[in-house]
Amino acid sequence: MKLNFLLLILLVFVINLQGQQRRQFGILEGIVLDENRQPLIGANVKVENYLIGAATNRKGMFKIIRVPVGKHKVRFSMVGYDQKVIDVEIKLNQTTFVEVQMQPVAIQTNEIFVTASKYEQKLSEIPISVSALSSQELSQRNIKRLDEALRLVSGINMTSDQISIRGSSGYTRGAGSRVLLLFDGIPLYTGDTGDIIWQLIPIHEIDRVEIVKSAGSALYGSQAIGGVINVVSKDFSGTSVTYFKTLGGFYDKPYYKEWNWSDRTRFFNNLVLSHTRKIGDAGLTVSASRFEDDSYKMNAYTKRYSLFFKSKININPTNNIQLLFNGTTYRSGSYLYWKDSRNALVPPASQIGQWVKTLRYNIHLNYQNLYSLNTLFKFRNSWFHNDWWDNTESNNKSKSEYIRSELSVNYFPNDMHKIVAGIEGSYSIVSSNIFSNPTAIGLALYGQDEVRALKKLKLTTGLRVDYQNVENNLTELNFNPKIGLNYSYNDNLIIRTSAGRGYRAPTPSELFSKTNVSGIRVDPNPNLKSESSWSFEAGMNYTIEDLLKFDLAVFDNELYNFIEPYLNPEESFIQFRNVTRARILGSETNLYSELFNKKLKIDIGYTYLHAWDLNNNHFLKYRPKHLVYLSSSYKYNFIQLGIDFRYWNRLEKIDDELVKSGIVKDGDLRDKVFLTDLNLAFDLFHLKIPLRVYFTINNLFNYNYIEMIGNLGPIRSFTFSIEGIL
Amino acid sequence: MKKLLLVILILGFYLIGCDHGIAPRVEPPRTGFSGKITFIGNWPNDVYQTRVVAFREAIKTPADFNLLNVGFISDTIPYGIREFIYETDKNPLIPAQSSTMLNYIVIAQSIVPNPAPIRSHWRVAGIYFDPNNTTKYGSVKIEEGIFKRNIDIIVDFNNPPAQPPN
Repeated sequence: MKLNFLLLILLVFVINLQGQQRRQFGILEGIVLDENRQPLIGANVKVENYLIGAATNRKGMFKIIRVPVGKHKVRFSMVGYDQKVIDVEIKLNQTTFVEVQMQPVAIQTNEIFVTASKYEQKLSEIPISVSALSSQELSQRNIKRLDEALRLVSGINMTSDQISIRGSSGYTRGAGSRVLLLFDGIPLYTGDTGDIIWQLIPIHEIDRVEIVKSAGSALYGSQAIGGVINVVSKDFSGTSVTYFKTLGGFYDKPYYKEWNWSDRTRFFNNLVLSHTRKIGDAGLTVSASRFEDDSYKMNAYTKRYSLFFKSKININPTNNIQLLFNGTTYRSGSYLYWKDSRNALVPPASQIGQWVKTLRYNIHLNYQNLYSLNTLFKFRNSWFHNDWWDNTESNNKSKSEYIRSELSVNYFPNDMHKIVAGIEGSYSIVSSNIFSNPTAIGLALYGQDEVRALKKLKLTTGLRVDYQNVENNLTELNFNPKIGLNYSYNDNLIIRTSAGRGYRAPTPSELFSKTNVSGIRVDPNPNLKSESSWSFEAGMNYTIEDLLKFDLAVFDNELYNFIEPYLNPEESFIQFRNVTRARILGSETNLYSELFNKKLKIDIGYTYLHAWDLNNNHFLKYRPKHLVYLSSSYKYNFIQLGIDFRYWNRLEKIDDELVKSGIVKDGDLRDKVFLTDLNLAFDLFHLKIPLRVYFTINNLFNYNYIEMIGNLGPIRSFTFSIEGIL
Repeated sequence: MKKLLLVILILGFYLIGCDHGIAPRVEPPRTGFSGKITFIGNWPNDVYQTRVVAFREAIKTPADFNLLNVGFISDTIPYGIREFIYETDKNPLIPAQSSTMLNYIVIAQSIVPNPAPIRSHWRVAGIYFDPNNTTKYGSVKIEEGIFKRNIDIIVDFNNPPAQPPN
């Protein structure tokens, strides 16, 4: 298989070199500025009708080499800014320089997304619900881990570190995610538990985060059953930039005196240093960071060191290779649940002194070939090394390697069709004293065609076939089709509808776990099958120019063979089994508006969920019925004041068996949640000082709440940070 | 418009700021029991864990050694100790539940490093007997708000008690 891949790449390379000799090119270079003529970081620059483009660096600069000679339309886009299209003429072997100024506007109908179809699409072309977060939004809120930012996205709720999009997941410790996390389009989950490791994402290297709120298995396969999150890292441009960020803060005293377990203030800090430069035809970014958190809870500390390296070598204008290393090592205390409600920030004595140490890194090696101006090949390879061990009685440890290759092609033959297709292979091996030592092989084929059926109507159809074999005897074949329709009634109103199948293969931890938890035996279940879903969605997006944007979606997710831990008290064991048939019906409404000359921005989201376990006739665990988000900011000169508010109702159902058995004392204690965060930003670039200063208060009213049984959510904290460019 | 928004904002802040969510519950009166464990003789070498384990019913078959029949499991008792005071509401592995009748309270010692709650992993080193009739197993009923004391157990390594089946 590998040999065939290499031959194909070689063939493409040779053919392409021949093709290039016939074409004539020039260079497009430029700078993108905001409304105050300050550099815009991470703006997308795209030559229309071609598959070539770039993104601006931290100085707002970009460079596209190998642009065909002639007249072109070049599109500039960025989350939070009005899209701009300019005419450019490229001359043979000459550099054309452009300066573009973009105006902030969040009322956009045509934001650009790459995750929904593996190529750039305007929002108006996507038949499913999507959202995005920009790097500015992360900085402004002093985000230290990506999951903190995702908590502020409409339709998403987190249970501890497990993400749920529109109710897709509850909480099962160490047993896989129902949302697929991608880093630059490449899956990023551990080979043993299938968990998302939020600590591994370098916040400072993020350009934007795209969120697909529907099953994405027709393109991405397993784990995308509940949606996809794609972290897009910053791209290179021609200039050298050194970036630093220093962040510090502390937790306030708990609201109730009896919860105050520590005499000293609990601090946290984060230091980041990053350098980007161009050496010849290669772009290079190296960054290092250190993070330390005392935590507001006893024995929940973290100390983490991370290293990031990214290099892109332009072999010639149509071929490039990218190498990426992203690694982290950390030690954190173990805190599973509280001692009781009077000791809500202290774990039971048995957990005190327990810790987990980890070493995790992923390496990507990608090759990209622009075979012709409408054909782009990508050959992407990744390796995820995951190693952790703890000091519990069982001395749990697990080491896993997950290796993956993908060859894909984007082919836009004419104005009518946009085709993407690919083949994937993966191999994982686990060495662990709790998950045994299984190996797994995965193979997949996928294809999708976006057809402009009518002038205003787009039809997207796709299919992915996944083959999985675990331990040479557990074999499964999954067919995941999808269909989507997108109709632009006029410039203001877009109507969309979609249907698709999702699936998630059981992880090695669900198949082969063999350990003891709190005296209860966990047994393997090698007969576990994949869980699957059918997702249906219909939605509309209505925009009144310069005033508001309104989005409404209704959805129905039918879930089959859901994998849940099953407790057999008579035989004293827990085993993962396909136990649940569930239905999640709901709606999501989002309203965005700008008032007072665009100085005041208001973003409101409401999600209603009816997440029902059809087998046992009760609400699914950890799914709120009502989720409300409100975000607002006011900008005056170089100062911006923002507020984020979240509400969700009292969770209908949690892990009641842990309460009944007395394992988590007062574990039934929970209430509705009101959370308010404040942020204040000073953009000193406006004063020609290359610094930005941020101040945030999280949980302003020190509201006491739980996301997960026996775990008090973060109490009020104060954070101050400075980021700058040298 | 600006004033209206400001009023809404202040009112919202006031309403939200008044509520502080969940609060600690009042500590209930102690429920459970405690006692002294006296160890006589030399501790065996093959012991990995020692715990107080209380069963609802005596172990008549190996299958009775299961979680449904377990009413309480204590934290581990340090190896080699001569005397130990246990209290069921202090750091239990499985807490004692109200309205539970415990008819077989033992000192169980594991003979494997990572024991599961199955009969073959454990050995009974001492049993709580009825103080009025030391030929019968003692019983304790867990009653809400009542804490019983003097549920004492003697572990005599030189004279171990009769073992449950298997």
